[in-house]
Amino acid sequence: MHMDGVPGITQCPIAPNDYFVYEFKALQYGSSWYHSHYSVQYADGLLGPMTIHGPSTAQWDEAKLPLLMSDWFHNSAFGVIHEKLPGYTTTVLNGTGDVTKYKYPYDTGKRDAQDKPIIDYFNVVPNAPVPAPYQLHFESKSSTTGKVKRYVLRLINTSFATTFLFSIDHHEFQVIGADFVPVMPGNKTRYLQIGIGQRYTVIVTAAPVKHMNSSDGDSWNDAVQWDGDHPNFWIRTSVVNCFKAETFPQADFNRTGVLRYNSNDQREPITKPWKVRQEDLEWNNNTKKYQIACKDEVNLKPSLPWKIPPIPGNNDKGLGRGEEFSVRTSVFNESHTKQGDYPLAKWSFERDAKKDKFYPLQIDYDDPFFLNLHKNLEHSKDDAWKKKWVVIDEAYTDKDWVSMSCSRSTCCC
Amino acid sequence: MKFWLTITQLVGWFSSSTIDEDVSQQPLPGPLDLRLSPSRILGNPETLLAPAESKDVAVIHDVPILPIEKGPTFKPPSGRLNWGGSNFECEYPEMVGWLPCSSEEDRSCWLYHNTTGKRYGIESNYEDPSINGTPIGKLREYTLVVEDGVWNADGFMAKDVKLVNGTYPGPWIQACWGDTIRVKLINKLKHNGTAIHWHGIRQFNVSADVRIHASSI
Repeated sequence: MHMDGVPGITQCPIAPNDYFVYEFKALQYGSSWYHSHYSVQYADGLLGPMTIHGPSTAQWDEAKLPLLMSDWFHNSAFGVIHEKLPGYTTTVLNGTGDVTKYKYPYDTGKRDAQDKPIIDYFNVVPNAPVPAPYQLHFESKSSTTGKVKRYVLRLINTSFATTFLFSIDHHEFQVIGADFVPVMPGNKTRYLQIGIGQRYTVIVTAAPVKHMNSSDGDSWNDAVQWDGDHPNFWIRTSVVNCFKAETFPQADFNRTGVLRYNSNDQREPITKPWKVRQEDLEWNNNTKKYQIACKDEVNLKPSLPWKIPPIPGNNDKGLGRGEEFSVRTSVFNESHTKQGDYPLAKWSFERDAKKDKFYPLQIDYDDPFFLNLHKNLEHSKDDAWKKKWVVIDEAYTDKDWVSMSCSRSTCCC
Repeated sequence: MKFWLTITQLVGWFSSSTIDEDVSQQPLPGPLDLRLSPSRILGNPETLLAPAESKDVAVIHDVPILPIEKGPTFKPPSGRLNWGGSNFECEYPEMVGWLPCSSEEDRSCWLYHNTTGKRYGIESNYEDPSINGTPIGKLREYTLVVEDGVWNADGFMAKDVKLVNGTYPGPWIQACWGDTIRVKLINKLKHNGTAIHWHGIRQFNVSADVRIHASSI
């Protein structure tokens, strides 16, 4: 508990020139990452991969280094949020990106016929060497088994504000792990949507798919050719526009990596991406175009069946819904709050939806909540939990399962 | 320690009494660590003097020490060094009698016991504290130093970057199922506090003795 590394909850922050020793057991196995939890600090780069080696639900030959995909700002996230410094967001794969591939909007100062500002776009001029895209190397055959080689990729989205769609041109893969949960190997897929913090362990076979006939009934309708003599493939981290924004410069570019079968062949890939299926697309009314639909991966089946007791409560289907809360994000046009009141605290849930006061969840860095567990609302004023912690007091035991689900009808989670 | 002992013995033997008059005052080796293999304790036989000729010097007899049985050590399924792999090894020293069983043709198995037939694998329930669902690994120690810096990821220098051990992303923390991970986090940032969260780790039955876990440098 105290080792979870969350300032204001499990510990005080570590001050400059101090140190702290974390110690915990790896009871689970799989792919994950570590990151700062001091406000938005992790967006400034304080993060890295963490792997706990263990068994898998399918067979494979070799694992590659964890692949971290992220948005990348060029000023500290604190400055971008509080001082409105420009971020010039790009995408990086294991710390490698290309700022020249993006165009950022700016107000020209001129007005059009409807008196709306005329926006133009500019390129950021590099002031440092632009690195080559991140490289992965595959061998077609395993020297141990003599058969086609199966590689494990540990995909991790370490972003601050970006959902990615990961794909490798002409390659399919199978998901065998989601976060720390081993998953029954499913059907092969061509792309995978990965939300912030999510990890997927996938098996990629070192056998590129050359060509799919649209007439074979496959609704993906892919007709992309692969030149068999050109063994270089783009690895793509496509930005999913979950905010349905009208402009999203970061979405300009997705070719952040290259997969090579022959390290002597350093040519740029000429491959084209998989076509996204119609059911994975959605209409953006702002851009008047189809874009990748922002949605969860489903049909993931844990390999270890856990028995979860039924959820208490009643609804007309006879299924429990448990306790329901009203969730709100800060709404800046509410008359009783100003945007400046809670610049970063934006989320709250309450038992009574009719309350007219918005209480976002807030923590105290100098009074971690874990040191206050013994207090409760019945105690005297000095001993009570602070209102801003929005404590929901429940009598769970260590045998209970607790699940929290956010639905779109009550919030925009 | 043993090297110093060797030198002083040589000095005591060859020099005059002005250097070391009372040879019995020489530092003795510390408590013998029985986990060391015999050659570590006895030192290289060629550099030690024959015991019979230096009566006042600590004598280390040639005592045979039985090898301590250890559990398995093996490379976890991973990559090769020159193409992005690593030389990391899994170790289960306390699990005597257990053998590693992960292979290209069966990744579901992790450790199995060759006499009882028991195994740790994909079917083990690592969530249930009442059963031995997790093997007993070893302690992995890491030190992470967090510093301010600048960083070129994409051709445009990023400022006010928070680097872990000088890089973005930070170093790869590896462990094996059942290990205890210990990370010393040193904050060298000028203006920020910090803390590191281990994403997804259950933190089961973990608490902190703050006296030994936090301090000023």
